[in-house]
Amino acid sequence: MSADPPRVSEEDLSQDIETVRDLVAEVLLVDRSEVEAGSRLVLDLGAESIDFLDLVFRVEDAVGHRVPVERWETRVREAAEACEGDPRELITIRFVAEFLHAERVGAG
Amino acid sequence: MRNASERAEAETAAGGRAGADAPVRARRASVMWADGDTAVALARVMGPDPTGAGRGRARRARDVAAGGLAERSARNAVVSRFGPRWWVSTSRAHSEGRGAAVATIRSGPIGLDLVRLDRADDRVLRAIATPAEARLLQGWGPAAPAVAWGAKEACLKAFGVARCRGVTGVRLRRRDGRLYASAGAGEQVPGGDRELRIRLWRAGDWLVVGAWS
Repeated sequence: MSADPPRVSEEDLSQDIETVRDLVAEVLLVDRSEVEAGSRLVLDLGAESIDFLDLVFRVEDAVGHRVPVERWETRVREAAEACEGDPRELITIRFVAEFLHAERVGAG
Repeated sequence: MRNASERAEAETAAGGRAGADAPVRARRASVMWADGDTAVALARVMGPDPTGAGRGRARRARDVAAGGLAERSARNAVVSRFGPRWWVSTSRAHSEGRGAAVATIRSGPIGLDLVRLDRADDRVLRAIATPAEARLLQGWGPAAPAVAWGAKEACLKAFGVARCRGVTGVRLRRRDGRLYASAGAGEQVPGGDRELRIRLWRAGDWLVVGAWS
């Protein structure tokens, strides 16, 4: 049994979305203007699996504490199971921002 | 191991296109290793790195094309040897305009990964490997992080990425000088505790990592 991801208000999330847009543009070397909240990292922005590790490190640097890769893997797996979806479809900027938010407020 | 004349599976198509926005100057594929029932191929789709709007999609299209090219090359190498009646299993990977693939007629899980050696550093190793795993990879020196990443990714692909916990769930062991990986036992991964032997090939700045029994 896994806990549902914490519900986050749009207001709370908006700053994290902006942060993640910056991080993703840096990691994937894409123009920030192309990186939108709904952009899919793999299918729209060309992310590879090792890029997600890079992103976890950037999240770690942003929140200032260690973020175990297992937490990211668990979040992705649970989300994929919940919607029986393809992780490539569901990992969007917003998804990463929610992960960052959870880490920032200590709910990771 | 095949000799140079047997590695003639090569393809060049100047002026082709890998994707809607990815101009391609040339494509090449060659079988880099073959052993009985299994072949590993490398491919490259060359052209300028996509720029401007949609570059992420264009890069992905180019890379997927490279993976497909490698897969066809590896599959052809196996089919040309055993004929078309055998069921051929494949696994492929792509990155930065390069593709790698393995094809085999043997049964059982099979996975392949492709990683640029300098893409994985000590921080990667600390994040994905246990201290014991890091120690057993010491012999690979600065390539150890790439070996760890590639071995775990190849193992995940062999057992099915969606069914596994992720790279941190994969366990590495060394026995008789050889590296093995397992995805761990659990209902999500039937047979995941089975150890797959890790094979490594260096191709310039890249490492091709295979995982199968």
